[in-house]
Amino acid sequence: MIELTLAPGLQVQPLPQRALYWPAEATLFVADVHVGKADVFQASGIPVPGAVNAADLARLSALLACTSAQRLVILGDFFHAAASQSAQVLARLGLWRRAHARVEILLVTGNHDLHAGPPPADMAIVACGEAVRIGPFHCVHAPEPNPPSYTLCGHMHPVAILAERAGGRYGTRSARLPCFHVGTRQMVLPAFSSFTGGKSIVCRPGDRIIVTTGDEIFEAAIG
Amino acid sequence: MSNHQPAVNSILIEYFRIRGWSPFPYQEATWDAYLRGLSGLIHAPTGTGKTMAVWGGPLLEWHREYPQADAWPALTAPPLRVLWITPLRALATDTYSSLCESIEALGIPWTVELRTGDSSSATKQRQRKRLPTTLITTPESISLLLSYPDTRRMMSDLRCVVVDEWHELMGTKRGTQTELALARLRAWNPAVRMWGLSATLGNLEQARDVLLPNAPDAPLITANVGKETVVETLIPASMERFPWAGHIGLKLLPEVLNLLRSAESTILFTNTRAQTEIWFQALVDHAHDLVGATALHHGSLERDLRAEVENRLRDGRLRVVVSTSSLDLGVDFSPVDQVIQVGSPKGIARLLQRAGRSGHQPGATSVIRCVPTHAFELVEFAAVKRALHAASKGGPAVEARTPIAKPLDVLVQHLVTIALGGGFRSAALLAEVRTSWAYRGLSDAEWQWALDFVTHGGVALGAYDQFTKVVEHDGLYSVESREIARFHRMSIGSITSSASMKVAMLKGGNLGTIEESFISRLRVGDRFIFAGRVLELVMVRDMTAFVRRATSLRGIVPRWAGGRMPLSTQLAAAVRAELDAARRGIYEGPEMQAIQPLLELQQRWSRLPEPDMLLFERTKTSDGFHVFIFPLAGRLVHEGLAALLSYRIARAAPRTLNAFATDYGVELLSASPLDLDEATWRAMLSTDGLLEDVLTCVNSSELARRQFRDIARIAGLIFSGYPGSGKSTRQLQASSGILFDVFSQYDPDNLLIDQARREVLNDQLEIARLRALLEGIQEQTLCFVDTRRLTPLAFPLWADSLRAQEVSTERWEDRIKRMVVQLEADAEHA
Repeated sequence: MIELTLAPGLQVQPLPQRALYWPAEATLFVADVHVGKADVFQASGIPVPGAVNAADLARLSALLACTSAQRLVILGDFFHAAASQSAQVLARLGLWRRAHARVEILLVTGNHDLHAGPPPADMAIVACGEAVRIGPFHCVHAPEPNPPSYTLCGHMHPVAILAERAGGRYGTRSARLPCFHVGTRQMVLPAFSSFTGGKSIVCRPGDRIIVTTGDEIFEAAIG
Repeated sequence: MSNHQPAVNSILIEYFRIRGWSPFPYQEATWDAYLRGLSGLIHAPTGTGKTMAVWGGPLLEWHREYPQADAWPALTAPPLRVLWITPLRALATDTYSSLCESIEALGIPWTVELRTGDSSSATKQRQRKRLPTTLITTPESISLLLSYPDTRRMMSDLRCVVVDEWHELMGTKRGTQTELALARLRAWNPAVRMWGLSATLGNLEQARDVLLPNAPDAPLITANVGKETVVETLIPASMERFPWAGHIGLKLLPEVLNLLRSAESTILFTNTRAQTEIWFQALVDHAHDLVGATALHHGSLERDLRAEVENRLRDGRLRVVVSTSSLDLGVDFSPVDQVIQVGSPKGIARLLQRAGRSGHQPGATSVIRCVPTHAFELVEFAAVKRALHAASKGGPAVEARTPIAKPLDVLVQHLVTIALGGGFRSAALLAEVRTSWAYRGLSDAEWQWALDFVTHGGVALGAYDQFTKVVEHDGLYSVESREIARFHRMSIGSITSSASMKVAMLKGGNLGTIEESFISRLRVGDRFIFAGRVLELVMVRDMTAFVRRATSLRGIVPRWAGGRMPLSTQLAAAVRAELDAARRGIYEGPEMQAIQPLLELQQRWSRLPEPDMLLFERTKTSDGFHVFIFPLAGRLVHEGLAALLSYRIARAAPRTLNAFATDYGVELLSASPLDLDEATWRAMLSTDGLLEDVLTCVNSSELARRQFRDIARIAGLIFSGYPGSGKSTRQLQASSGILFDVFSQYDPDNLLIDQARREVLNDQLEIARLRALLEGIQEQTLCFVDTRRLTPLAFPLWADSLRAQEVSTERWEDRIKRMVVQLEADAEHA
């Protein structure tokens, strides 16, 4: 397990399942869930197996169960598109919500949510608008150019490209892995959805890169 | 062959006579066969009148049906009679001019039109109402036509389908796409005659069978038109300072400039688009007298730019065109004085085709001057000359092209196309599809899978609830959604293009297309060379990279995917023969004499390869411990060997190896010495368990995932959008890599995943050739030489291996933990 100290006394745990846990407040943060993305593809004639959605929700369930989180903060892009709010997806989602009825869920509006619309009221997901303050954290969807306080966000689907170095050259066997891009004033979370691509990160001095293989998590050396 | 009606024939004889020509016997034989209702394949070198050979038949047929020439002007143009399929748009324009010229000269009231991806939408709309008498088009455009229900009616009087440059199409998925279209046209009208045009090919009979699976006795007409090809090599004045490796060849620029100045017109062929850009820059920088009369031509340039170059070359306003293969097909514009080939042509057929661009008149001699980019290319040029000489003596001629067997991605695309074009019934379409060569062995299960894939998304239970594409009502399969129809039609043409972006000037004007992967590595403000200009990236919007002219003169040259051609099997054998002669002290011809000192150095430091010996060189550099192995069998099969060896070695003792392959051999690089004895090497080179081991390599590497890119695009899994397509399509973008992962995990029986693995095994790793190579090695002795430094043979391998690939049996997670985040500045090493 990795524990990051973002400020004196402020510890968070990036988890291999692409979520960030804040134990002191039993709060779980995820970004870019893209619920119903496979369904949108299917409706347009691109056969993406729907199981990928179900697997994402199952992973979220497992996270809530094993962390005993009381609160889930979704940092934007909960639904993929308007068509994602189909009867089938909502039925599946409803079952999932009832299984975690005691968990408070907050949603920061992401760019996809603008088109997809808010979740139905019976989901009991609190729409927070573009930003919400959770304790010391400024929670938004996209990275802030000037973070007012330590900021948690998503949107970028950050991916680190790792390569081995041998004898002064990189091997071509490289890996693209989703990562937590941890800056001194802002952290970009990996996309929670496993059916997403990524944008390779640009490192700044002082940044830390926590990569996840899905099963394991570790801090990558830079350079 | 002169029992055809002379009266009918006479119009063409007259047409030839006015031009001071007379028909070749093979042309008359083709006209005759056509009039007797036959299909066939014509095999003729470039510039020997293939077009008239095949075009004459339909013209004579018209004359026979409408003998009264004086009544022709009053006739309206008849509906579609001739469909002319050509693989290249550049070729289409040229065919268009030549067909138009003959019907105008003869006063035949036909219309000839083009329909390619470049045609305006107004033209396409008009053609959907009425097709011209002769339509010149591409495989993609034919498929597109098949997606409209009224095409069948408009093609009801179709007489003849010509497939130009069939040797180029066969062996590609566009060729398979063409096969499916031909099967449909034959099903509509079994009397349609189909004629293929092919350049020299090692497997002409098979080429005919693939084109005409319904007519095993179809004539194979060979143009016995004497056309001699002379190959000359530019020999470096001083071999001492000539590079041992590299692929640019600018070392010989002064000599090349002299050649350019000595001729009125030259095509300078290079092997890659990047080389084209580099050579063009060099000419602009060093030959001020040729600036303005020098142009660039490659397949990624915008059509207008290409057309302008073709026109200027035709009019004699250009003296030098720097080109890749975009010009090496049989474009029939006036021949150039001189053809120069930079770097090895890597195959005998390609060299012949390029040489054919000079001395274009039948009977004339084609001369090609070869410019080596590094020392060992001299051996390849010598080998080409030797092989050509052998071929002229009736020896084994040129390379064969292997047709593709039942690619399911192309079938899946075709099913949706036909569902759009009026719908289909399963049994009828299956029977039709099986009449094509590619799908003659399609199993019922494979057919059912493809059908399920387009109707339900797949067979994984409940995985595709929301899927709609093709719907079935009472046994009729069709497409109902207009949006799906639109997406499908837009993606039909995508077989050829890899993920590419438009390059446009900020002030307006398109320059062409470039691989998205290249642009994505650039940052705003970075400079690169494209279309002969140094450009600066301003922004990327809607699949377009906007650029402006850079003030600086230097930029990086893009590397396009698939630019490097492997040495053909035939040429590799010829190279082995040259080196074996050298080993025995025989240096024949100027090329071999020039490289003699280098080969003697190789013998002093190590040895030269021998037919019954496999050479291993072991050496140490600051990179680590190297083992070089030299089977001299061509890059593709070496890549398979490299993957296999590194996998097996690492399996025996966990470690990480860098493995790399070139046309000459394999390099294995490790951090610690590879101390394997001969028995162990024998085991590593054994054919036992070959298939299993190679499959494991494929699965453990990125190979299949990468191969899936094209498959996903063809099967309609990727919708790459188009400029201005807006948000609705952006929501549908997913990379093929993610799709591959999702399928592998949630629908592992998906046959497209399986296809990706098979394509890697057969096409990339050439498992059949790899097995043959290993079997040959069983008969060879293994010879190990420890060298103090990199030998002339090893050096090019080492120099090229900066792009090494590796296989490892270490735990993936353990390896990742040792990796480092790659910094942007190092991206070009990747």
